[in-house]
Amino acid sequence: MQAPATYIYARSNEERSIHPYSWENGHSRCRFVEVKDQDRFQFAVEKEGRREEIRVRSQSELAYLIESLPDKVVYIDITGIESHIWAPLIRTAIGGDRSVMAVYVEPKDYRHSLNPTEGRLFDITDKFTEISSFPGFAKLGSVEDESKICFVPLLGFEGNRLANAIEKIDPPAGKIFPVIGVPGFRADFPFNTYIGNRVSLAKDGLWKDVRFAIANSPISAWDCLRTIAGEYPDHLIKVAPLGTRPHALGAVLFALTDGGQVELVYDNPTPARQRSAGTGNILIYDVTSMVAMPSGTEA
Amino acid sequence: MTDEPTLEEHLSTLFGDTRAEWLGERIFDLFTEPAYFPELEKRRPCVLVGGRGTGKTTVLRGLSYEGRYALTPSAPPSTWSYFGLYYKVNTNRVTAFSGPELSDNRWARIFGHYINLILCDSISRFMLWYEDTVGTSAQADPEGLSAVCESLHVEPAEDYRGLSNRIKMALIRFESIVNNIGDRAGDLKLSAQGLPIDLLCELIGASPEFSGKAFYFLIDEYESLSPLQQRVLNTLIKHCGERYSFKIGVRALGWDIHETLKPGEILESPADYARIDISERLDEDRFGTFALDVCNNRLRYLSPDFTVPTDITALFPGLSDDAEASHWGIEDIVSEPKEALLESFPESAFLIRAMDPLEIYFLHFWAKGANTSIEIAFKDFLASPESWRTRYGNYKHSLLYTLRSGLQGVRTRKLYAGWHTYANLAGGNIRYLLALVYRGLVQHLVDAEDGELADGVSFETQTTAAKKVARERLEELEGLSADGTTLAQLVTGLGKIFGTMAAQAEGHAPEVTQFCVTRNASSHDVTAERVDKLLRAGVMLLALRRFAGTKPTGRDDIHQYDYMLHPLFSALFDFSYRKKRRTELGPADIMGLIESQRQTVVNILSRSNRKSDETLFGDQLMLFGT
Repeated sequence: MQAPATYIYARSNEERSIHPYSWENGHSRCRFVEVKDQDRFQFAVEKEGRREEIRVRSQSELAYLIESLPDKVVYIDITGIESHIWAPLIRTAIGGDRSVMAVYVEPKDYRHSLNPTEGRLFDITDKFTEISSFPGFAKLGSVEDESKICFVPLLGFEGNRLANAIEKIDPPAGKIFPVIGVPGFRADFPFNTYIGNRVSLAKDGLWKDVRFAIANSPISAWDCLRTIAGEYPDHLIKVAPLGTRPHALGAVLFALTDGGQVELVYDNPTPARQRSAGTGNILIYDVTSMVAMPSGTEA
Repeated sequence: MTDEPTLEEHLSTLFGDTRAEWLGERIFDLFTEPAYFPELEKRRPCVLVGGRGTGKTTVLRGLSYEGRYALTPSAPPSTWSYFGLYYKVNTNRVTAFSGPELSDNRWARIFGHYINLILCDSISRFMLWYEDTVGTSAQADPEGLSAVCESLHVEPAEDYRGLSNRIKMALIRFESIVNNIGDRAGDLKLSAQGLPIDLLCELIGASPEFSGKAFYFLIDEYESLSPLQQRVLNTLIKHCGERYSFKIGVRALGWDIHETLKPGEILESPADYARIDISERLDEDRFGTFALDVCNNRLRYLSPDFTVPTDITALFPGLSDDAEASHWGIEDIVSEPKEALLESFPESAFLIRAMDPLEIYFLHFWAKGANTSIEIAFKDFLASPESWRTRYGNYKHSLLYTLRSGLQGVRTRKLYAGWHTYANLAGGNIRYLLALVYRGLVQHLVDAEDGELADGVSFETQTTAAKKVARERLEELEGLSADGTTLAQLVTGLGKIFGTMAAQAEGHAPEVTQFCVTRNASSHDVTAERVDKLLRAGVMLLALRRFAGTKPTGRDDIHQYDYMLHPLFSALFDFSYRKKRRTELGPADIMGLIESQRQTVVNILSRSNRKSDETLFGDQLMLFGT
């Protein structure tokens, strides 16, 4: 890690989220800020012994958190922080003059379900609730033509999440473009994605419209989204990050940089306890540089 | 090599795209007006209740100005008495209007302002469309337009195009504030509930061209609104004047809240709105007629290169109960009992030989159930022929489910064939009907040697198709909601119970296809509450159907209703799709079917002296290679 820097992270029950504890001792020039008590609308941070509560739909509170950090380099660990919280955090951070890095730790494996059913081979999510936008990313303008919407679900292993999203969003025919992470974190993971989403992909021939993006690459996901947007220039692109965090990051960057015709939709999953095992690769994404790339730059 | 679409591709286009939203522009080419459509065209607000696939969206889109223009091009818009403005509630958008940052009252006002902007925008866009289509310039009184802009807190506009642009900008600003509601709630200038809509409609209605005409706001997917948001819209519906009205599309049980924002004020039917429950309006016969029109309408678009009957019913021949019994070899099945009767009752030989084989089978069936001999049953028949005929009439159809129940390793135990049967399996859901038709036709092309549709689809192929569609629906249920997996398990458990009851019907009432939830002293509130939630989800997601029970409790709870599986699932588990007799299940039974299904099925069946038989259903899994 570059130093001096601030490292913002959250701990979960997963092994891959506890590395900051060991790092804290080894990086004296790095400040560690833990995100706690994450819920749909707010979170708390412990900073220098003080607890502060931050509302995700308050740009001033988010900005205060970032601007109060003395370091010019900020690492935001998206492994343990929930997507609907790190997304507005990253948006706020890149709006300032800091260098923003996102960190993601791949798992070695995901927890297989002891009672697998169609669409649910792994215990990754306990439940999901209503479909909503990412906080601060809502799109409220009139939809003049419901047929001019592309729906791009970034797939994970859980087919029931895709089925639920399609049911609730009801996108127009022929304009659903599922994205599968290929290559996956592991060679077999893309097959799990196909198997887990089999019912939805088989229905209405969705499998024919699958696109691919490298599972741990936000740039690859971003590029994929840009390609679809280019094919449907006058369409609203509704993106549902249902899969990897790097893909979700790519979706967020797409929403932040590619104009007003992007909508992020989310099913607010409650993660299952210990949904993964082990620690795989640790990836660091230079978000500031990504955002500064000229549009049209290939991944 | 030709690039011409194949017959299968044609069928996929015409019958495979079963969702209205997916038909795109073809929705109006393929539109079939349902029987209740004229009622929707009247001024009174209407609430159209129906599950997914019952035709709500298609009908609402048919009412919209775009729809009417496509459907009746010979009737110019200047002659219309109403103009429908379609708006689909976007679940991911309306959820932005909630959160701990503000009180409910404040959110209600903000949402009300949003609705004012959206509906006024739809009106102004319509005016531009009208101007382009009819060719007359839609002039607006400047003062009136100014009042509308003022009420919406937007900059003044000189015409409807200007108004539309102002509203667009206002929505952009509004969006920015809602996305930062923690900081900027105080920046919002909110319009009064409904006022801008009233002013705009009055302004338009004052012009001679629109005098006496009304706008209909066609609000689809009302169930996506939160209870508070429903109260906001309920208030608009309650107080809409002559110049506009509402036509709401909502799922069964999706409209929980009938109150308005005013304490004590309720939206009531028929005083405030007409309720149109599609499943009630399209009863068996009317749905069959409607479905026939829908399918034949689509058949007309098939290329003349393909030899296809013009009437879909010709492609789906059915068979009577007697014919099906004959199909399964009833003559061989009853040969032994028949011989026994001829031997014991030589004086009645003429009568015995004249009896239908299924009648003789019934004697044998009845005797088995009564634990007596067929001779005694026949003596009883001779003594009371009329009461036996009545009894036979009650049991006749149910006998078919027992004919092959003892056989192992058979793929099909009961046929589900015929247009009438398909319409019943669809249970009033046009989407299911189209799926059955599509699957049947495609399977026929696979099975038939010549790949033609001139001949009808065979009974076995129709049955296979019905099972496939039911199985797909069961798989879909697993993904439809956070409760989806639970519902799929409930459907499977209930299917096993009703399927076993159908196969082991001797000594029992025929065609047990419904259940009611009993209340007993040991029912814990928590369990009853979970069951209530589950059954409601089942009804909303079309896994179950619900009917007013015969034992009204005076409360709106699960004990008030009778339930049955959606008829589509009857084909998967081999029981009758007809709404007939009822069994009782406790809340613990319902939860047991989810949490410990195997044992619970055993327990429930043992209460009526039946044995669980997994081999009855193993074939359903084999059929689909799982």
